[in-house]
Amino acid sequence: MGLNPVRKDTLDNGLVVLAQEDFRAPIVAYHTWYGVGSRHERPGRTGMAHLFEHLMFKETANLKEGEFDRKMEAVGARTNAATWVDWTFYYEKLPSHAAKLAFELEADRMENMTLGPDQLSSERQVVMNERRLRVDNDPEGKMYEILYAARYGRNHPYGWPTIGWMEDIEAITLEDCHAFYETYYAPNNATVVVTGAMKAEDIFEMAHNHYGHLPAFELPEEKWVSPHSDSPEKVEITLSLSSERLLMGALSPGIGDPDMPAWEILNEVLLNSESSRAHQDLLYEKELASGVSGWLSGFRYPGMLHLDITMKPGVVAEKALEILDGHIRDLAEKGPSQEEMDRALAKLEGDFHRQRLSAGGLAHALGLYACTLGDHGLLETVLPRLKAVSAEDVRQAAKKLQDPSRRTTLLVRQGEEGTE
Amino acid sequence: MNILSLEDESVEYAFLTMALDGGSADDSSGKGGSHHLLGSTLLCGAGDLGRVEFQNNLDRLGADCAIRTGRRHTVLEAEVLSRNLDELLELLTTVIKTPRLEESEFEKQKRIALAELEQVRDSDEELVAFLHAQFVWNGHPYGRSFRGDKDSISRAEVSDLRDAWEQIKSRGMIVVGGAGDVKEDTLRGWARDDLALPTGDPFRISTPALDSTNWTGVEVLVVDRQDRNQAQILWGQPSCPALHDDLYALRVANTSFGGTFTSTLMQEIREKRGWTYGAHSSLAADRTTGLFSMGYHVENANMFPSIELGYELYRAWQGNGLSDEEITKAKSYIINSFPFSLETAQKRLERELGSLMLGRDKSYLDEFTQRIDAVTSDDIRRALKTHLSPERIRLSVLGPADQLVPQLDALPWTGNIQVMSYDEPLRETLSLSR
Repeated sequence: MGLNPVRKDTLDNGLVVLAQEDFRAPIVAYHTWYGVGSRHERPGRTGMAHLFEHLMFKETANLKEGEFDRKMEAVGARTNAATWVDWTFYYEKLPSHAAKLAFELEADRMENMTLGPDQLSSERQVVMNERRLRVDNDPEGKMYEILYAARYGRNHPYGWPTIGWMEDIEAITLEDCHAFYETYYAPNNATVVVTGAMKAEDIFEMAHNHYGHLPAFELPEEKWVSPHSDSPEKVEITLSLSSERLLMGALSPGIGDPDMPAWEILNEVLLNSESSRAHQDLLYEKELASGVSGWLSGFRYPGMLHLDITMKPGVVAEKALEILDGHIRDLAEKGPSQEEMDRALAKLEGDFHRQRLSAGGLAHALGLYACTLGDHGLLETVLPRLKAVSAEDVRQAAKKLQDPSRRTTLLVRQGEEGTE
Repeated sequence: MNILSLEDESVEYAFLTMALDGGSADDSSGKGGSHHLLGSTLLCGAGDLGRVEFQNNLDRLGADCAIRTGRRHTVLEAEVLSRNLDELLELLTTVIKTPRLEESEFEKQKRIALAELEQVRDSDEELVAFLHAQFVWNGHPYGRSFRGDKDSISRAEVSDLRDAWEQIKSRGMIVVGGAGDVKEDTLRGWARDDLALPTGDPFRISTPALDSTNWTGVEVLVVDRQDRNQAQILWGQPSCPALHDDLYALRVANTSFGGTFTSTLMQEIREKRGWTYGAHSSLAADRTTGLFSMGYHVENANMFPSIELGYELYRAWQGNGLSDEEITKAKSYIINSFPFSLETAQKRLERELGSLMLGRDKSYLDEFTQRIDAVTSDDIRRALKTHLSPERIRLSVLGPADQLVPQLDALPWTGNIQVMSYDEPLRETLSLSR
C-alpha cells in the first residue's frame, strides 16, 4: 500500500525536476510551475502574470499560433494553466506514450516565445471578458476583491487581484510582456513535476535533453512588504444579492509557517466542518444562514482565514458576526475539546488523501510545495504537523483571530451596487 | 442487487455509491421538491443519533456523505478514510434502514431549500442555466425543476418524505458500488446481510422523448437584466438518446464544434474576436432523449453579433458536417483521451455506474474507442441531420432586453421571443406569456 517515493533532479541551470512513478493508469501528468505570480507585479501593471499565462499558449519561434493546442489535442492531451499570487503553473494530462510531447513543447515555450501586437490585443479582450465574468458581474468575485484590497491595501502585492484591475489590464504593453518573460520564465525559476506511468530515469533523461541547454537567469531579489497597519475593521458594501453576506478575512500564517496547522484545525472546529460550532449553530440551531464555509489562503507569506457566511433572506449579517465572535471567544478562552480536535484531524486527513488520488492531484500538491516553499518534501510533513497540534495551539490561534487589528469584516447589504 | 467493485489498495481511501429506485419524477403533484428534501433530511439523523451526533460521527471518521436526487434515482455517495470503513458502513446502514426523518429537522431543511432557491439568482450563470433548462424542456417532465418552488416546498409535509422513503426502500437498491480501498466481499456481504433490500429496477420510470417536430423558428427567452455589462447566452435542443448508435458520430461532431480549445466555437468567438473567455458545446444523454447545448458570455455590446455568429456557425456545422481533417482530429482526441475517464478507481466506478443506469451493454466501455474510430463522414452528416435542426433550437439570453429584443425580432430565423425579469420568482415549471 502507498505511493512510490518522489525523486528529484536539479539541472545545472537550476531547473528542478520531480518524478513520481505511478503505473495504475497509462497516464502522465506534467506540471510546470514558475515562481511568479501576481505579487511580483507592480502597481499600474496588475494582471500581468495572468495575462502572460494566456499568452504562453500563443506562438513560439518554432510553433505557429494555435499549434501548441493542435499538437496536444492530437494526442488527446488536456491542457490548461492557473495563476495566483505566488505562482503560475501549466499542466498537461497525456497518455503516457505521448509524454515526450510535453517535454518538447513546454521547453520550447520556456525558451522561444514570440509575441506580437495582434496576439496581445485579442488575448487582452479575452482576459477582460474573464474579469467581467468572474468579478464585475459576479457578486462573490467582487466581495473577495474588495476584502483583499481593504485588508492589504490596493497597492499591496496581496491586495490587488490576480486577474488585475481593469484599467491595468488595458494598459499592459508588448514591452511589458517581453520584459516579464525575460525576467521570470527561466529554468532556475521553474519546477517540472511529472507523475504517472513513466520511469523516473526516463523523466530525468528527457528533462536534461530538452531543458539542459537553457541558461539560468539572474532573478530579481525576493521582496516582501508587510500589509498596511491601518486596514479597516469593517467595510460595508451593497450588492445585488438575494440575501446579506458576511465575509471576514483574518490575517493567518503562510503555508510553511509552524503555526499554520493549528489554524487549519481552528478553521474546521470553528466553521468549515459540518459538525463545527458555527456551522451547526448558524445553519440549524439559530437558522440564520443558508451557507457557511471557511478556508485558508495558503500563500507563501501571511494570507487570510476567510469566514464566509450566506445569510438567509431577511437576516442581517451582524447576527452571524455576533455568533461567530461568541464561538471565537469561547475557543480563545477554553480551547477545543479533544473530540473536536479528533474530528478536525480526521477531516483534514481525508482531504489530504483525496487530493492525491490522481496523477494530476499528486503533481499539483508536489508543485505547490516545491514552488511556494522551495521544498516538495514538506508535503510529507503535512500530516505529522497536523497530528502534533495541541488544543492549546488552537486556543492560541483563536486568540489571534480575536485580535481586531488582524481582521477585516465585509458586511454585504442587498440593493443597488456600490460601496458605502 | 448489482455490485460494482473497483479495488485499489494503493490508496488509504474508499468511495461508496448506492443507487435507489425513485427520484423527483415520483414527487406528487403540487409537492415538487419532496424527494430533494428527502435527500437532505436523510442526513439529519439516523437510528439513535440525532443530527448533531450523526454529523459528529461522520467527521470523526473522516467521512463525507451526500445524497443526490435525480429524476429517476436517489444516489447516496460516501467517502471515508479506509481504516474507518466498517464504522461508516454501520452508519450508512442506519441511514437507509432507520432514518429519523424528524419533523423539526425537515422544517429546517425546507427553510434552507427556500433560501437556496432565492439565491439561485445571485449567479447569472446559475440563473440562466436554471431557466434555460425549463425553457428547452417546457411541457416535458424534464422541464420540472427537482427543487420545486416556493409553493410546493411550503406544501410538503414530513409524512410525504416518510412515505416516499418507504416506497423507495420497497422498490429496492439498484446497485451498490465501491472504489479504492474497499473489498468486493465486504461490499457484497454488507449489501446482502445488512441492507437486505430487494433489487430495484433502474428503468421503472420511462421518460418520453420530447416531440419538437412542431417547433418552428428559434424560440427565444430573454431574461432581462439591466445592471450587468456581460450577457449570458445559452442554446439548446433535444437530441440523441444514450443508447442510439448515432451518439458516437455526434460525439465526434461535437468535439470538433465546441469540445476543445481548437474547436470552431472557441476559435471563432474567443480566439479570432476576443469576445468571450469561453465558448463550448456539449451533449448530454438519457435513455429516451438527449440534449445538445452551446454557450458563451460576452460583453453587452457583442451580445447581438455573437448570437448571429453562433447561429451561423451552428447552421453551417449542422448542415455541412465535418471535413476529413476535422474528423481525424476529433477522433484522435476522443480516443487518446479516453483513458483519463478511467484514471482512478473512483472514475472507473462512475463510468460503470453510469453505463448500468442507462442500460448500456456491458461491452460499452471496452468497445467505446473502436466505435468512435469507425465513425465516418456520412455517419456524422446523417446524425446531425437526424437529431439536430436549426429550426428547432432554443435560445436563452440573460442581458438587457430593450437592446436585444428589437434586433432579434428583425432576424428571419427567430420565432416567438419571450421576456421575463431576472427577479421574477422561480417556479417549478416555466410560466411565460408573450
